Amino acid sequence: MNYVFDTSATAVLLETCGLGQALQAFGQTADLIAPNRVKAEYMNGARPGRDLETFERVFKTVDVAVASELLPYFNFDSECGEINVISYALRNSESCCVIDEGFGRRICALFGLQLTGSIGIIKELCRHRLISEEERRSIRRRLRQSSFYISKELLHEV
Amino acid sequence: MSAITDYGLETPSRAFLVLALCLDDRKGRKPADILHIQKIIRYFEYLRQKREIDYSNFKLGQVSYELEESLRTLQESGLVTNVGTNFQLTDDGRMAAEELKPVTSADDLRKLAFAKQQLNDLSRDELLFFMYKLIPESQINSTEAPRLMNRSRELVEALYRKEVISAAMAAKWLEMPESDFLTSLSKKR
Repeated sequence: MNYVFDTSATAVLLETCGLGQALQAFGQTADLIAPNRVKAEYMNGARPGRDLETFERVFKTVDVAVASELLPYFNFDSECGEINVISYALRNSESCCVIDEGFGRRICALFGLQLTGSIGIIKELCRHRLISEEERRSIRRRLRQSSFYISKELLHEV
Repeated sequence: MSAITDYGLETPSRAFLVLALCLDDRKGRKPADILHIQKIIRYFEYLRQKREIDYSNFKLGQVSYELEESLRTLQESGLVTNVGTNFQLTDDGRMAAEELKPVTSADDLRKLAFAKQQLNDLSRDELLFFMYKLIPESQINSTEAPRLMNRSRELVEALYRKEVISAAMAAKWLEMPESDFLTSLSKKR
């Protein structure tokens, strides 16, 4: 199994939840992949918490050719992270998309792709005992206070 | 006897109307009003990048007289009926839809289903705004576009929360960085 990450999930896991180390350990059992476009988006903007060093330690970056059948769904914007994530998963059937946004998740479902989100990854880290119950509670608090938009439904899942 | 030949459902506008009305929206509802039907089929054609129906730019954006005429014909033929402002298939209409499905490509069916799920539960303003942004030339002759563009922020947020657009699309439409858009939403959580 490999996981291919979208930008907002990456930012939530690395910055909001501070899970760089746990993800690095998780990377011993599963490939954690980020399209180069996601890396570029992650580095974009003025967030003080961005950490390229950790990003590069955790994720294997890949070049992705955008799948043309996806373009109309994304208003012909091939530059967004999600279309790159989904394109990669369309060509690699063992991949699971890690996308938090509802729209991207709907496209994954439409194409029958495996899907999880940052909350699903946090649960996986718990299952592999890479984070403790106490850390999980602290993550929940941090997610609630986060300046990043996370839907109420997702927050309830942690 | 074939409903397809009996009712002229080889015509794309009639076939798409029957199929659009047989599909569920996100709330599991099949009926739709005339404006939503028009926009669902226009969005479907946008997704497949193939135009088989004649649309013109009018007051409410791109609308098709061909579709309206076909809808009337389907009503007269007893395949479609209306309940209030909504149109729905009759039993004969549902049987016709079952005949149409196997002769329609899986990709077209997927795109039409997606279009209905995307648009059918949007309010009138959300629907028009989405289509104006998606197909900017549809703003020509519009009497609604200027009013809706003044409400861009509110409508983009509503479309994002309803999962109709991505944050990247929302940010582009509001001409702001994606992270700023997401941060502004979290403050309203």
